Amino acid sequence: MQTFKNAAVVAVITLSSTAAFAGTGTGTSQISATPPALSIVEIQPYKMTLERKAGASPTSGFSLKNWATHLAQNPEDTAQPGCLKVQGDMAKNVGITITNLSNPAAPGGATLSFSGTPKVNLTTSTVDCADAISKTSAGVGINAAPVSATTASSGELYIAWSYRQPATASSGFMQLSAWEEGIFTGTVDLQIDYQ
Amino acid sequence: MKPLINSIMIVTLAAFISVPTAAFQLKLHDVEISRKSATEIPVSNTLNSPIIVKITPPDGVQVFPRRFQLLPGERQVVKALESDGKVLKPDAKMAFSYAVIGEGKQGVQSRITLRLPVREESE
Repeated sequence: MQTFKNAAVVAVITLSSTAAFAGTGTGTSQISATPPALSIVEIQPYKMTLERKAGASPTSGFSLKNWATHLAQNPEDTAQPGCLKVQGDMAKNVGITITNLSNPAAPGGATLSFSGTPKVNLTTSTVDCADAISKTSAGVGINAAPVSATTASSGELYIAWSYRQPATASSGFMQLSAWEEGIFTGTVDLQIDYQ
Repeated sequence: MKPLINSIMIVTLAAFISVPTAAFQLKLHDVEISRKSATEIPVSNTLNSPIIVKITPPDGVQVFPRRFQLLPGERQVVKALESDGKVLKPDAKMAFSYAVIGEGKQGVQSRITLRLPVREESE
């Protein structure tokens, strides 16, 4: 009986609200005009491969500057820059800063550390990642002056980044603490200042 | 058998230095702040992974919450209020940082901080 009563009450409410909509009255509408949402998306990751040379058996760590002794090819030639997309309002100025690079570490404890002052190649494009990657960068240090860019007339900006000369730089090249076959984990901190 | 084992051993060491496929979304481009009422800033997680968001306000601005977790698709409204007796600098910025939870096992991830200008609301 309880259930039946409830059903009856619901039915009555439904009917009465239908009646209200059918009648005349005033409604309120709220229309908000807002800029497009601001978002950051990764388009592609940075990748680099250290391929051990056939017959080489590194017994300890080594500097990537000595890659020719241990590796099949210069790891710089295998690097694929990472790319991010910022999507927001059109023609906005943006400043990009690299605030920190952590040392990538493998599960077994091997790490890739930076000798001296590492730099990152940072380029931007309003077209796409391939266009950003095709541009050249003089290299940006950690917490250096921001790289400035402007979002496209449709609001987007592509940011490509890669480690600068990890196997050839005079300062800031990478050193491997021990040979380990696996995926190295770490972080890169990017700061994007929207003007 | 040995050559086969050797060929398996000559695997590539891939250092994936990557950002997880991610989107972190804010519904505004600058923060208009006042002493009278709190400004509401919606923050959404449009990724498939939970994220931790950390907010660092400039001097003279209070925010709540400063740090929270968002599940995929979840949204949090952050409230910001100008502190009494503090002067907001003209170039003040509010920083929104996020990190993906549970994807730290493999690959090198990017941690992105988006800094938005903070302006005093004109009265």
